[in-house]
Amino acid sequence: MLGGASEQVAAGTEGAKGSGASVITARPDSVTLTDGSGSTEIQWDTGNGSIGFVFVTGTDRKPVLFATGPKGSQVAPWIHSGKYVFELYGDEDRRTLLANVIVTGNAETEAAPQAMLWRGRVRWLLLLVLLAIVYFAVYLSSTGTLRTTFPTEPTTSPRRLHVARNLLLGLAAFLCVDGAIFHSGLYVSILAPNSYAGRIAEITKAEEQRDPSGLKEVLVLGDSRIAEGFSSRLADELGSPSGLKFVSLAEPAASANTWYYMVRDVDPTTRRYSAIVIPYGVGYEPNSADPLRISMTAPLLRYADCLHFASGFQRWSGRFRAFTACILRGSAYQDDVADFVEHPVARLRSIQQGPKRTHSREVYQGRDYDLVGTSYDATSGEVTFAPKLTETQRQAIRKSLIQPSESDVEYSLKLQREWIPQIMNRYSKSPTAIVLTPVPRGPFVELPGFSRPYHSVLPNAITQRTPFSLPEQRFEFLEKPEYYFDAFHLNAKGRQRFTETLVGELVGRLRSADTTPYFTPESKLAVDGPLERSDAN
Amino acid sequence: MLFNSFQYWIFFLIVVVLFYSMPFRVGKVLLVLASYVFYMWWDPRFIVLILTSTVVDYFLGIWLEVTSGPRKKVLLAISLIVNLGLLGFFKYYDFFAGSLAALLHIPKSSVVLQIILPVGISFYTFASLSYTFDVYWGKMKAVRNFIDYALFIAFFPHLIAGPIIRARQFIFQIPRWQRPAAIVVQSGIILVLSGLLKKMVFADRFAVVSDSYFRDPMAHPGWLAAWSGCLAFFMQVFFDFSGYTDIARGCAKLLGFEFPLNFARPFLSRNPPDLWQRWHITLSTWVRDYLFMPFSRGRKGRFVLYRNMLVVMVLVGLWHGANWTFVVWGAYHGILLLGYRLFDRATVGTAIDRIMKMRWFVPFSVGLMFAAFILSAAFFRPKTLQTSGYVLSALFGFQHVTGEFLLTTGTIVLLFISLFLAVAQERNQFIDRLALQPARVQIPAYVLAFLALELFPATGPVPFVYFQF
Repeated sequence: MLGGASEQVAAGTEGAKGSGASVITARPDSVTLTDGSGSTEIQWDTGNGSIGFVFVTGTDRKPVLFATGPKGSQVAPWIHSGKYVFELYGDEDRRTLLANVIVTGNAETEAAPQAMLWRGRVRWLLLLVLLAIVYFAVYLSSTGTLRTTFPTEPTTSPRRLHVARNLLLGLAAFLCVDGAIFHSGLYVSILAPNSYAGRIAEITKAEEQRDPSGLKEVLVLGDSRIAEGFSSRLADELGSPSGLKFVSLAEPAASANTWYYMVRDVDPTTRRYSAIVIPYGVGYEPNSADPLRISMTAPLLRYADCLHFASGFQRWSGRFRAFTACILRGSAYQDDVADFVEHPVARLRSIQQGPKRTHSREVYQGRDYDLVGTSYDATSGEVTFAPKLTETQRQAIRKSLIQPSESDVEYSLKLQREWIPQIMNRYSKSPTAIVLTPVPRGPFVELPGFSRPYHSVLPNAITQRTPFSLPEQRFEFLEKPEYYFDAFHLNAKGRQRFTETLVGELVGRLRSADTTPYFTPESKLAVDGPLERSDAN
Repeated sequence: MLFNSFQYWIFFLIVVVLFYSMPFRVGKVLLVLASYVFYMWWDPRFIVLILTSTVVDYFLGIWLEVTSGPRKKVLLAISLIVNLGLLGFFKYYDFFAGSLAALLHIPKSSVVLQIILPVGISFYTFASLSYTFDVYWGKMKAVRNFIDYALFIAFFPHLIAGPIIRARQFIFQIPRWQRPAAIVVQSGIILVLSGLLKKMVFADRFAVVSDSYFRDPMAHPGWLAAWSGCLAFFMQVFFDFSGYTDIARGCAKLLGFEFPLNFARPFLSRNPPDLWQRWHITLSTWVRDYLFMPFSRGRKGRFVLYRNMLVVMVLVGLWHGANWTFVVWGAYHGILLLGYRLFDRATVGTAIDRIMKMRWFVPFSVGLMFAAFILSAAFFRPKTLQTSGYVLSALFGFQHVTGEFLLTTGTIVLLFISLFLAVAQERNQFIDRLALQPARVQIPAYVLAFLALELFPATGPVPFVYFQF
């Protein structure tokens, strides 16, 4: 699913999550012990709905499974003196570490029991205060005697009223307040880092602020399939001898329209990168995921994008939402704002873990299990699992095999056909080479729609516009169960092979660009060496 | 077309612009046609029901006025048969047939017709009946202008979920219609905004909590979970329905008409009769005037009065839906009313009576009434009596588990906001008076309202709870 529909992302991107958005926290992480023990609350979130496994390791003890689930919280009431490491894994076998937190149990001090006592008292005091407030509020509302009539709204006014003026001024002031909070970047800085919008905002901003490497930079776009299948770290290792630096902005659920706005933000002059890799292939995009697409693209939008962005949606409701989100940006962050209001402290803590997320994203190596021995019958929908797979892995695979409707597949194709050419147009006069690469379709190509040829995804007229398109069959060798961990996403082995192949192709093609006649002088310049960022800007 | 959908506001804007661009004589025809379009948006087939009810009662009204003697009763009976027949068939046939089948051990599928409930049928049937009764009793003259009568029945702001309009309240406004004054327009805008806030910010957020509990009460054992689930449910229902009413009243004002008040801070009620003066006022007063009073007038004996009270409340319960849970809900409120009346009679003039009337005691009365009302959610929301029983056992702590507190920080904050707004409104009509405030008050109020609507709607457009009634 190139576009990354929410369901599938949730189903199959445990690893993508591990690439930068999983969180585990302990409240408190320093536990004061009473009578030798204390408690802490562990909260975790794999971030993309995939199952996580929380293991706890006490001092000199073996790891024990503490909790499971995509997200949740659980109290550990048995903290004793010493150190406990709570680790969130993407798999039961503890191979994919997503995040961890250390909890220390501190022996009781003189002040501790008193503090506990006070905490208990404060809770009761708070309850009493609330009850007193309610009591006095109701007391104030009453007059002693029962009311039998209730006055309706006033029908006369002692002075002249300015109904339309006040309403319009109210509306204008509201637009200004919305603009000041949501268009200024003020709110974007506190978006939930685990949300789709938060992740897009975080990685886009990080890329915007990244200093030039001095090498030829290659930007890789994509959805969860590329997030799982492409390792920029490995690509750098392979490409650095050829002077290439790889940057991945692939994010689960990101569609071609989101890529367009991401690229616009990270490369305003269209001269920053030597090449931009754009994947294409069969995927599916349910209309019901419109709100998700809107909210995740919202941090990248401007007032002027209203019509342009809205036009990319199939249904009028989606267009209307998208249009509104450009003007009233807050409307795209409704869930995020509600979550922030409910848990402000947790949000701020989560934001502070930015560097940790970036690091775990960088070191992520992919899932280490495969589908060898697993078979799928598209007609009956029956899946036969290899015995080695755990129940959670089976669930994830089963979820990824939910058959998309024809219209969902068509919508995905439409988005690619409309927005990939727009990215190409943006770079039509730029030295940056656009590289179109087919995405391997998965181990079960018999899924409806997935057996269609690549040229039906992007017409030849588009792929032939760039001399850098990779052959349609280039990654067919990867469409085997040994390279996948679910129906769409490459595992660690597949990730390595895909990255190696892609880098190999790019190195060859970018090198040969020096000698091939179809390069413009600008593109030669870009391939020979990127412009310094200061120059570019 | 939901009041909280963009579609509706486009429709409303078009109607307003067209309505004010033509003479009222033509404008009211437009309103009738717009109302039919509005109704047909749900299901065009059911327009036949409204038209039938309208035509029958229009002609019966005229005949009732010119007829006397036994024939008058026959005409009234025809009106009742047509209106209650339609209501009974569409709303209650499946319920009673199914219940009878269960009693006689006949397969339910052989008698149940799976009838679709036409939206708003309970509301416009009661409106129509009020007209027939009023003409029959000579309380008003029959309407001669068919368009006026059709507008009364079908006027779109009240058509789907009330408030239940009476002919006497509405029809006299038609010949006296004039363009609304600035203050009325201002009040209308404030009502619309307040209704949208109640629905989208308050009701839909409480709905998340109440749905999570009532979807499977057994998954949330314990008294704390049950009380928080029931509290969330009635907060949802209140904000949902009163929000709808506010929007309906606001839209009516913007078109130059007045609808009666339907809710008046019901959670500040001190006793059961007070509750029914404040909760769904148009239904309780309709039932009082057209059902309870006619049957109780001239009858001697307290027992008859109490029996009637109980029967009427059971019917009020049944009005809400064709299910035994609603019947029990109505009976529960009947018993509350009856119990309070007996208690009141027993304590009148005593120290208890004096204490209960003291101002410092009022919050305790309000708290008790509030708890009694919340308790009734155990019958109102579950689909079966079995589930009601489970919720009740949880509410009374029979499960010996505390359970989890389901209200979120956000909903607790909303509870307190609504408490303060209710108190401010109760004391000095704070919200109504916003219409009179200068720009420096109104503009920030608008900004806050718009921001809340932009940022805090719980989900996308969710149907109003009372549509199902």
